[in-house]
Amino acid sequence: MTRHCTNREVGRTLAAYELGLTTAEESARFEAHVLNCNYCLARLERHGGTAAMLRDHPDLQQAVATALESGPAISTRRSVSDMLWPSDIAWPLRPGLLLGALAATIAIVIVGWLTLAAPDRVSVLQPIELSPHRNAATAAYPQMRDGDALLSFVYPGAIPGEPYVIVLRRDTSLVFQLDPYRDFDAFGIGRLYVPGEKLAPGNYSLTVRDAGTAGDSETVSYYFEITQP
Amino acid sequence: MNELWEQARAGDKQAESVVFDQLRRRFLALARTRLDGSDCEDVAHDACMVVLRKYKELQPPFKYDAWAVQVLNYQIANHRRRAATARRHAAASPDEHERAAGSGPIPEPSFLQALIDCVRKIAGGYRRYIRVLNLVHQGYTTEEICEKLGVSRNNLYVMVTRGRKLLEECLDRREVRP
Ligand SMILES: [Zn+2]
Repeated sequence: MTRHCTNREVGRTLAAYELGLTTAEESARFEAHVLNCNYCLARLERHGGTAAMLRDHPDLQQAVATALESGPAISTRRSVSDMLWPSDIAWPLRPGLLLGALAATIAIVIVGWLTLAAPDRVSVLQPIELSPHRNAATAAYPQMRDGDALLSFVYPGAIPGEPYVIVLRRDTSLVFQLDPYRDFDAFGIGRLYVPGEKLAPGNYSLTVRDAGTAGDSETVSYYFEITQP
Repeated sequence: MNELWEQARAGDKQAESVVFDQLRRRFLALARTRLDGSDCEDVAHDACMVVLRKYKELQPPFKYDAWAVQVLNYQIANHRRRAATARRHAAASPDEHERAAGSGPIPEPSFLQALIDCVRKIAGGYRRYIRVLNLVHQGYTTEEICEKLGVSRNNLYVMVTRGRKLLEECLDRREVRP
């Protein structure tokens, strides 16, 4: 697939176009764009025909209605956990493991760099890998006196460059809020560098949601604890 | 692509063949977002034929791309009208009913099932997207959907983009194709 859209402003209307949500003018712009953008063409072709089925197939319409009727949503924790550790993927390839390996590699590289290239500095970067199914009891880290933290977290389906809202709380008080946060990568992984002095001992929650939505059902929360050193 | 159009118009046969190969593929991709199965190939082909017949009559400078998609949209609308008429006739004469009931081929059962499974799975984690689909099925306009969900049009587009991405990833994991 070609790697970039030639006009991101128009290309980002693709999903809305497929569902018939765009205005006549936006639709015309998108259609003319597809004649010149191989990236958007490839995205349309990749699951070509799915959009028409999703919109018009009676079985799909029924499935959608039933999914909404069937009581409260399955908890986001379980769903995100499924995405991290999907049972239908061989375990060495599961995203959770890949994420862990990625974070560990980043940590090793950074610690290595700090040790070799900056021998005078004593500060270390503590990787804090957050996933929604992990509770604070299993994600406890001693307070960093001279170091800083690198928080990494998976938000399934996050779109690089799009705005999200991130809130970090210690117990009930606000540590910081980022609105908008646009730095998710192509794997739906976000990273935050947090100075050590901001992370006093306590129970932390990091919440992520789409900017512009206030619904709780799609807010993903991650928990961790900073303990006395 | 405008340059290619101009070369083709000036009599460059190779440029013309490139333009129409590209156009057919793009028309097919666009038609598949709007119509069922094999009908799309016919519609894309017919639209290409109309463009091929007429493009030399247009006086440059001309927005060929915008015009070409208008031709495609006209063919799609025409096809829909014909299909609706055929359905009405079929309803009037029961013998024809079987033939006209579905306007395209039945999708692979395994793909349909995978799509249904993925919709259920996403309903667990990103219910809001499934709610949008439900409102689309009920025929609400974009403005009405935004109002019901309390989001801006821009946010709605971001939501469906994210939902589509989750769906794509889910289908990829199942290695199924329509
Ligand atoms: Zn594009």
